[in-house]
Amino acid sequence: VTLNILLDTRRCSGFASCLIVAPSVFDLDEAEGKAVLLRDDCPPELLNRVTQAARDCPTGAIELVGDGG
Amino acid sequence: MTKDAIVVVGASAAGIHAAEAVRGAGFDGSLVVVGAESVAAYQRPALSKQMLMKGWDGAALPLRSAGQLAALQAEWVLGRTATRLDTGARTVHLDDGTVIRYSGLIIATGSRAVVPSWLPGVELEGVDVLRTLDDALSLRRVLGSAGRHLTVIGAGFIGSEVASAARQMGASVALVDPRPSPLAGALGPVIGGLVAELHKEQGVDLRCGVGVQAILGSNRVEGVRLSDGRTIETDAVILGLGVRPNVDWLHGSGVRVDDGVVCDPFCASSVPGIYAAGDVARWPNIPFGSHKRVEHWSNAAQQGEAAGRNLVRAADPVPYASVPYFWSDQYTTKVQLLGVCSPDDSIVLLSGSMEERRFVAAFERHGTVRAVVAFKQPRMLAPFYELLRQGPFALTEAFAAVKKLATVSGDAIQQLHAGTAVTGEPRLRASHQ
Repeated sequence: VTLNILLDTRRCSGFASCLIVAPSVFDLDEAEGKAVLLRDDCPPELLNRVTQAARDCPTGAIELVGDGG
Repeated sequence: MTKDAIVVVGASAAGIHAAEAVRGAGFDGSLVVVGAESVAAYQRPALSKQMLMKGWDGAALPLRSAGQLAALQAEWVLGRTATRLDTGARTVHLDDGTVIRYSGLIIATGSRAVVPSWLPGVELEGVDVLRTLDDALSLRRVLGSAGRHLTVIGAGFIGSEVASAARQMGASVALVDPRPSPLAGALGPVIGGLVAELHKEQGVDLRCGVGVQAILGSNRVEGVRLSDGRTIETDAVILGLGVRPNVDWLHGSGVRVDDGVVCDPFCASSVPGIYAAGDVARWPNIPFGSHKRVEHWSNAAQQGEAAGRNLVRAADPVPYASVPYFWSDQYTTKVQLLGVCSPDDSIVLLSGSMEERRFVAAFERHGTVRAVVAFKQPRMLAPFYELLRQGPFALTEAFAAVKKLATVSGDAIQQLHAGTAVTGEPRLRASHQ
């Protein structure tokens, strides 16, 4: 099963904790004050990091979903 | 864990993450979540940030969607406060007389804002704290009319953020603190001095090194009298004087309390089957050798998860070790802190420019770095997070990390030059006393 990373930019408030935990997945658009995805698939080696980023996001803007989910 | 009832007392960040972890660890018995506020969990950090800004529509920002909450299959008891814990009978007693039995319990009751009863006039109308959604809505009403003056007492993180937000909404703001600079208690005078500049540039009437003698007014607040004899005329006062853990309800329960619920590295309290998480929990964070409460949002989330998991999988517990992470929006400057710092640590510039207030700096003592602070440099923190996961590290490693960043980013090469060039300069190696 491929996991996809969803970033809800309406929720995101640019707290930037995701960049710290998973810098190869998340970046910040400083002008907008919002996170941006550098990739939207989540390979197994990044699963822990992206899970942690999702948990640590105070706005709940990050979700991991299975293919088609 | 027998298949009966887990009760989570506290329905904010720590409580929600604990409840999710309880289910995630495979517990399919009865799950009850008790919350003191009558609304579903919301994004508390936003209270002092975007909820006070122009453009917010007044709706609470929920922490979880209705669907996510429903998926937990929990019973929600909201608008109720736990008043007593009976660890013999294994019951939680609520303020409406309800008694809930538990087989496992998670204490996630958080903390409340300090209201100094010794301060004359503190009971006047218009004197408030900022801790809940209602507090934020009430402050917004005050700031909504033109020409308002707000006095913020206490220039810690909440006080500084409120001042920042109130200026952005157009109010006049006085910020008062007996310490020499904003955030001095947490981050020390060097970083505090930079935040002081931010406030002054934005027109805040900053009064540091001055105490408050009394809040003045007959029914509603009209002014604040300072220890230097001066008086500030004001329409409203926000108290930003820190928080105290909500542990009163545990009195006499046998759960050991000493500045919060005293936990072991697994978030377990002194009573078997009872765990604690978030602002209320004091636990040994092994990599940092610290044993204190951490009042940060990310800690509430992570520790809630650890406590929930360890309660269900008590036979196979995992120690909770974390790199404390905190951020604060001061005007347009994002201030981020990773690690455990002390206000009297030395500040060593690693990258960027303190004059431009765009930099990364280390909190250093005896060549060891225990925390890293960034102003407007959100991309620079990831390598330091990796280092701090193992605990404090050598200052030389910090410079190596900056150098490594420079090899992957053209932008960072300039920052590397700044970082290496200034290391030896004593003026940038500022130390408190």
